[in-house]
Amino acid sequence: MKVLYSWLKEFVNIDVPCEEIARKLTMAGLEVEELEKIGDDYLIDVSIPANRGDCHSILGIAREVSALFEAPLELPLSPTFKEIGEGIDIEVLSPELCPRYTLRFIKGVKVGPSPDWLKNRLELVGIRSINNVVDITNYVMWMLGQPLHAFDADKISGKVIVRRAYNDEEIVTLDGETRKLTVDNLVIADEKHAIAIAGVMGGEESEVSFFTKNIALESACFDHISVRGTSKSLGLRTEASIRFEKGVDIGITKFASDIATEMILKLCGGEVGKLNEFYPIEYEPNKIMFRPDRFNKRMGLSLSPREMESIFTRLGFKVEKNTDVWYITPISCRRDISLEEDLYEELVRIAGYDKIPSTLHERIIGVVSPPPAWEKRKIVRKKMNSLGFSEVITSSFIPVQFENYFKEFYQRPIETVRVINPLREEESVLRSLLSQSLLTLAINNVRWGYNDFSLFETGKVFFKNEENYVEKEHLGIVQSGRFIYSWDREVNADFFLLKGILDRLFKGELSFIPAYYSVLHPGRSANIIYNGEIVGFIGEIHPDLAKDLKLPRIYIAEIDIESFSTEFFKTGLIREPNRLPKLKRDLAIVVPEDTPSIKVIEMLKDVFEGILEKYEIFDLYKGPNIPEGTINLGFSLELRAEDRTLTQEEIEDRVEILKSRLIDVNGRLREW
Amino acid sequence: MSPMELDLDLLRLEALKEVSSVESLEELREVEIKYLGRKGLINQLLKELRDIPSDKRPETGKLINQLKVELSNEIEAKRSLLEEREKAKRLEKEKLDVTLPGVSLSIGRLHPLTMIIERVEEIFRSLGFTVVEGFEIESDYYNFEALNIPWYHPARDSQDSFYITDKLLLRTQTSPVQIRVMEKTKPPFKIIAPGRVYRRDQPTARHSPVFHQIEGMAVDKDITFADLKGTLDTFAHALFGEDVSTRFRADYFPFTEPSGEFAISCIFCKGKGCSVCSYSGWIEILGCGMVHPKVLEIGGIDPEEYSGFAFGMGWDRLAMLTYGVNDIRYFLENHPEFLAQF
Repeated sequence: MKVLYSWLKEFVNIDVPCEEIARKLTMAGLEVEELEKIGDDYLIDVSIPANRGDCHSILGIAREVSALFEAPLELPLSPTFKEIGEGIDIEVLSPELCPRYTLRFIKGVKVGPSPDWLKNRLELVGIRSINNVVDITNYVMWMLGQPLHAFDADKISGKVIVRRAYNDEEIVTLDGETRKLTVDNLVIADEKHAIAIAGVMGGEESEVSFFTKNIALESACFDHISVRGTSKSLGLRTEASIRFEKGVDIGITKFASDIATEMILKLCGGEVGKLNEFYPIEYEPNKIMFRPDRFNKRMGLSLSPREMESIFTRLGFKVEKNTDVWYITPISCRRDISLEEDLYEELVRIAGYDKIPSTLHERIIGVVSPPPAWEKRKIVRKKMNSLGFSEVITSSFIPVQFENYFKEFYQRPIETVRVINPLREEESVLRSLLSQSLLTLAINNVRWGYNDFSLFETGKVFFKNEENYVEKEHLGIVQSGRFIYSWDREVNADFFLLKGILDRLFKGELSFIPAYYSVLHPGRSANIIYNGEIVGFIGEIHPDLAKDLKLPRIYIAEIDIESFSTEFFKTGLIREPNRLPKLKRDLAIVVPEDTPSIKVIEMLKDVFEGILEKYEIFDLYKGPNIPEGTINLGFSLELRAEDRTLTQEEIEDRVEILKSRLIDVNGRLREW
Repeated sequence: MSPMELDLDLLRLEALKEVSSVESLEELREVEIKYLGRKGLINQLLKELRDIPSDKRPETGKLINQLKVELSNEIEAKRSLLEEREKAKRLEKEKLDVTLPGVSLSIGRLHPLTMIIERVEEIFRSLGFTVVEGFEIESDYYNFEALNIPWYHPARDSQDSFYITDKLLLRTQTSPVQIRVMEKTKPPFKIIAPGRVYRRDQPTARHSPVFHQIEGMAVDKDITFADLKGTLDTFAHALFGEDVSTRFRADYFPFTEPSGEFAISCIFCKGKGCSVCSYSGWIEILGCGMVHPKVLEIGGIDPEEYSGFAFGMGWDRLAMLTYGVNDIRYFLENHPEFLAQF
């Protein structure tokens, strides 16, 4: 809302620098976005909050300034006319959407260009000059906040009817567009058809032109919800609809019409006809209970009753004072004031928020532990960082073509969550797995020329499970290229590096079984199992997909963090360090080459139960020294008991057991 | 001098010459074997003692032993000399060009948004606030209706939403957590709720359709607007330093009454006015206010008995201010060069 300082001063008798007015308005909730000096005048651009429809006018801003600076408000007097002849009959068929309607007939006007002062003022505040009649309606709207509309009275057939539109009823609006309406839209019609969309825009047919002789001047109050709905559904926002949807002062309807009429007589000539009015139930502002003590207590303030009364009065509110309980009647334009707390805001707003002291609520409120997801996320982030992986935070939207990637994880069909009104069709799908986001990021990294990356994200994934929308916290990891490198060495991203990361992070309590994922390498993909349940997956991006996306080898892993308890990640009770000597024993185990190593490992764990502290596979061998179709696994074991020093014999006894067990899997121990 | 003695003297001279001329440990070993070995020349001489007259034997024997001792000492001395030399050679060989670069390792870094929110959370936790989390897929009821924003409310214009169904949407603010907490928790409580929010805004340097907010709320019997001011002043000073000034001004939010906007003096120009603060000297940080009585009621809390304050701020913006980031889109873009600086 643009306000010309000189115009403002016509309503409030004030003499302070415009900068000071701008500062105080801003502090009181009417933010001045720009203050522009124009000659010896100023243009003040005020941003009006959604609840302050009353401030979409010079008068409304003047009322604020008057209250803030204790300067008197100077309202123009209501003009009186000698009405000549008849008016145009009106009929309001939808009073629920139009509580007040006035239409004044003015005969024999001379439509022409506006005088320069009028043109200039309108243009400065951003309104294009059309002709003197239309300019006057806009001028009065800007001044008083009441949208007005002038019809060419000769284009109206019979009486004017305010009614809901018929479904599919059409009207050509002033902008030349044909608009299709529904019963939800309120129209102004004559006996033949709609001539305006109420509160939004007039019709082209009854537009005031240079040939217009007689006009019908409408000033009305339309229901804010209805105007807003119509404006939204038609995609048509006008200065009128902006004001109506925020609420126009029902007390000003006739006054605004009179002010405009007076100006029309002055600038366009003509004779005043009759004003017909529909206003069945006169608006009565609410009386609101106000407790001065409670106000001060709630705000932590000590405003005196005298100060409170003064502010209310300056705002034009009526005050009925008793000792403890007052009754306040707000001015009719302030439809936003309906509760006691609304009055509190008025008082602190005008008194200044800086009057309120700064204190800390001293009562101690028990601290509750944070949600598990939050705690786990924090621990996981820290551990991933210490493993050398950096955190990324990606958008929840993923490219549509990735929608079904990695979805085998869910083991059953799940429905992707999508937005029905996306900004761009490509970004309508919410990720059902972090890997979809991380793959997108990998593509970007490679495109930007970065092939070495080790990244992770903790974040939410979304899916629909039967009728429920599910949000789950996942950890996703993506790795490519070199991890550690220099001129003399290179540790590259690969399946086992990533698996090692997961082993560290999840304390070796995960197991991995081969799994099929359409976008993963068929021989290099696995589901991750914890407590007997699939909690994640790991793999290399399928070479075909990598080729299509112009990617190098990319390794990806994802885990549902919610499958782990917070305690899992936390340190529990510790045990004493074992100070007994450790024994080392190397074993060369030959098994058929398709034997999963886990089978041998499980066997070792079983055979050396209670004394196997650590094992390591230090060698994998296939070749001439062992039979074809077999593989040699070189194991290095660290053995130690907790309660005794192990003897070589005990170990050899167990090795003997191992030998016999190995026969079951067609394996054997290879002697050195 | 007997012929034996003469031989002995010659042998000594020969041996000492050989020892002094060897250049490597292997050669020295050969010399050692030649003279002092089991079948070496010295032992051979000892064997030959039998052949000389018995009266001369002890003296000659003594001479041979003297020679043996002298030779072994010489050889030992030479050995340590050679060893020193070889060690020096080896060390010389192991010399590195210390100016070559070290191995490239990565430091795991946190994302800047995480760094900021962890600081913010720490500050509020130290003020007794508990972290809670809400849903990103919310119902229209929790996101709007229950927050005193009915369908026709003009405030909805600034929060154009992504809808999942007629009634479900991606939350446009973290404020629905207020309602969810009130429904479940008996006052008094103080909570903060960080999380991701969505608005259907075209992405620009200042707006991202996906961004992050943190909500705060405190409800008790005697909570005042002054407590809200004190809490936020404390927060701003902890985050931005003791020397920033703070400012509250009136604002409008449907779910708080009175409502306010909280600003700090511009940290770039110290309040003098620059492009970051649009030459106002102030940077808006958050919206806040006393919880609207209707919202308390909807949450099942009697507004006559209890009062509360609430606030909400965008942490992408906090991160932008803290690190001088000019484009909000950088955060979700994750360009390696951007991330490497944190």
